[in-house]
Amino acid sequence: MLYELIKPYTSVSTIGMCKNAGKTTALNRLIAECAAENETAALTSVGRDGERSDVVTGTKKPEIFVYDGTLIATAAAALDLGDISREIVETTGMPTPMGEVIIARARSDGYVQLAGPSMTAQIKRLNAEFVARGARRILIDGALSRKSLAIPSVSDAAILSTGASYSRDMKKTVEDTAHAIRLMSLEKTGFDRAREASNKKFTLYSRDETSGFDSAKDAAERVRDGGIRAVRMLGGITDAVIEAFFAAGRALDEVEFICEDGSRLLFEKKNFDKLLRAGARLTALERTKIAAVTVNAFSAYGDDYDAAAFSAAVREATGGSVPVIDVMEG
Amino acid sequence: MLDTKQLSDIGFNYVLEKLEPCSPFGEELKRALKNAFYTDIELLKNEYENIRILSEAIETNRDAYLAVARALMHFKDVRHSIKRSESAALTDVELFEIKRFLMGAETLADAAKDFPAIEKLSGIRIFRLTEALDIVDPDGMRAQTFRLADSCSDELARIRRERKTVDGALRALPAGSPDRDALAARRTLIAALEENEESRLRSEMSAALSHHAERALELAESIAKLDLALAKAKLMLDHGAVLPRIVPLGESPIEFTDMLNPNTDALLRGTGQRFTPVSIEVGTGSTVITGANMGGKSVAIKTLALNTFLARVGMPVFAKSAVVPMVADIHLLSEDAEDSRRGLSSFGGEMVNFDRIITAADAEDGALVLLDEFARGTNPSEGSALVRAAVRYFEKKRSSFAVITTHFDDVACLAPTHYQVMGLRNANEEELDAALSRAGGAASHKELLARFMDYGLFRAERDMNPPRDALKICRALRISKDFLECVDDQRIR
Repeated sequence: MLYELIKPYTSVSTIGMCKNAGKTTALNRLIAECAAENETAALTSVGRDGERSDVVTGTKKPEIFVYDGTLIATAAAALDLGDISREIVETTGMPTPMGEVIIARARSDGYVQLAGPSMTAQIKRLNAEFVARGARRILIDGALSRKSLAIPSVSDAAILSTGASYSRDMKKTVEDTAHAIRLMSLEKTGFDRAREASNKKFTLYSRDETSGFDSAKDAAERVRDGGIRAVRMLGGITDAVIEAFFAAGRALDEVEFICEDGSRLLFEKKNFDKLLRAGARLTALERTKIAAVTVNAFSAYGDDYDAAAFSAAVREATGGSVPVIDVMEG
Repeated sequence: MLDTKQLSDIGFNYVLEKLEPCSPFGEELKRALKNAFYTDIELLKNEYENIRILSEAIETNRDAYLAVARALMHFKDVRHSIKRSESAALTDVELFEIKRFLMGAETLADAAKDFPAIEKLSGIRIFRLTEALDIVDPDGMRAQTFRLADSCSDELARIRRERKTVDGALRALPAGSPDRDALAARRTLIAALEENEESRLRSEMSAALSHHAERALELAESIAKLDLALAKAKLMLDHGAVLPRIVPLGESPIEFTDMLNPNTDALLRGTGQRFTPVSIEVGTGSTVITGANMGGKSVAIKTLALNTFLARVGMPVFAKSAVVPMVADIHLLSEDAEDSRRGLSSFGGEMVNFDRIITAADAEDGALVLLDEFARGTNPSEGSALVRAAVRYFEKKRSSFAVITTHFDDVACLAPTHYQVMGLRNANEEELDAALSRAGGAASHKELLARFMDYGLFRAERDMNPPRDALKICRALRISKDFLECVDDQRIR
């Protein structure tokens, strides 16, 4: 049961490696299991970018099924796409492309469409509103891939969904899934100076000095000059950023690269491996706890995997570090 | 008219920051203040009377005031939904917001009972809309949430009972059961029936509410006025401001005793100094202010602009006392960096603006025209002629309250009223010199000098020329000795 795996965490985000990876199935399973435990669940989502047009035109049917008593926070226009009998609890003043985010309580079972706010601070505020209204468990439908919010700052743990829709090549799906997990569970840094407030994109620390840069190129040049022990990077870190550090042409073997959390590392696996080969250490200010990985061997495009082999491969690639659950199994 | 940048320069934005209404209604009135010159003197006097009543009540009945402020804080702006009820069926989210507004009105009316000052206010009526509230909450449960109650119609109650039964049956079925599809289809159908019935009931509810729309909008307007008047009263108490006496044009000059500019005062306090209060009386025609460089002529004129503006938009003023006629408008001409950026020389830009101001003031009865260091950017002989002409011009017209600051000679004698900034007049030069010798660095010299400078105004003789303080100031600032010797040579020659 997924429920047993998330039981220690008040708030849980779901993340998908791609569309049709089984994220919604996993979420529905969780909701049903919370209901079976008589827990008041609260639900919202991080924006709705990829699917917004479908949602607005109504071509996409709501797929999330909730039970009487569940709290939901969703945009006004998305609220009307659901079919629950509902009670309006609060208007939040948070704007979205689909209207203001509304908090409602389901007064029957039924489908809902989630279109929540897209900023970390807003999700945090919703969490507090949910708790104040008696929510025992908060489930946040996260975005696709890792291009999401700072997961550790809005939830205590995450469930990652992966599936055959990611790639026809099962080996690639397994490798990329394992890589995503490795990034998200990056070790928390022990370098305390990196926790000082600054809004510079890059903060460089030598033994005695701290310097801030907004451009990767300038920061990389400073690294080349030597003596840098750690580089703190705020926001999303792309391939261009990492390549700028390689281009500086200095051995990175004594440098610790610190990101906000693993979900902010957006560069390709080859650059990740290259960085580690160069001797650099990668750490994060916050660590995302991955409570479970769900696998879905069915592809929306027809190239299904063998379910047992897929589960086993993901389990092996992650070295037993996280529980692997097949969401399509009963 | 003062433009946005000038309003900021004279410190109006600073005062706005200190004005803190509790509700979005009051907040909206606050945003409109900069364009809210009163045209009707009685309405303006009423506003000040309201502020006076409220400020006394805040002081004597603090707890009751706080209860009113708390009640105001919970309002959201629902005027759009209220208006929509007159033409359309409202959504449940809109009905929720209207219900909250109506419940807020009940809370406010309760709080107002313990704060009887509100009843004495003119143009403000706080009342309950219980009949309207009963429409959106027919069971009288007064919950903070909104949902059409089962009691709204027998049909709704019946549908919901059936829905519960089907939900229960679906939950009880095992996942793969063959009966599931039929039951799920039944569930979808009932959900649609419920939505239809709710939609019909919401239309009825909206139509019933629409009869109360006008009263609800009146209430929103009163809440806005009450909120803003309370915020003004609070600002007055917190910052030692006063209410001006408003008089018709022709009855009295503009009179301020010991006025302050809270913005400049706050900046000065940051460096350990205090604002020197300014007292001034300005009648129609010309008033001239002269004084030393660094002596605060510009500050005086901005402070006058700010406080006169505040008095015209119904705000407390920063002074010990004030009499303000219903001046038609306020024009301020001061050095403006914008013009030089736009390509006009500062003198050219100034003259274009001057022309605009006298044209506007000519068409108005009783505008306050403030010219700060007019014509400073051209040669002293022509500059002085221009300033003298301006003094003459406004004296002859007599329709505007003109205040002109200058350090040119032979200007003040043309005006009936002449003020001079105290400057270093009363400073003990030996003490100043000793203090300066002890201090290090140019910055501290400037600061010390500011401390010895008296920024107050005094009524000067008409034929008194501006003080010769420029060299005194140079010496005090410890300007290069070699250079000052050259200056002495020049003067001997």
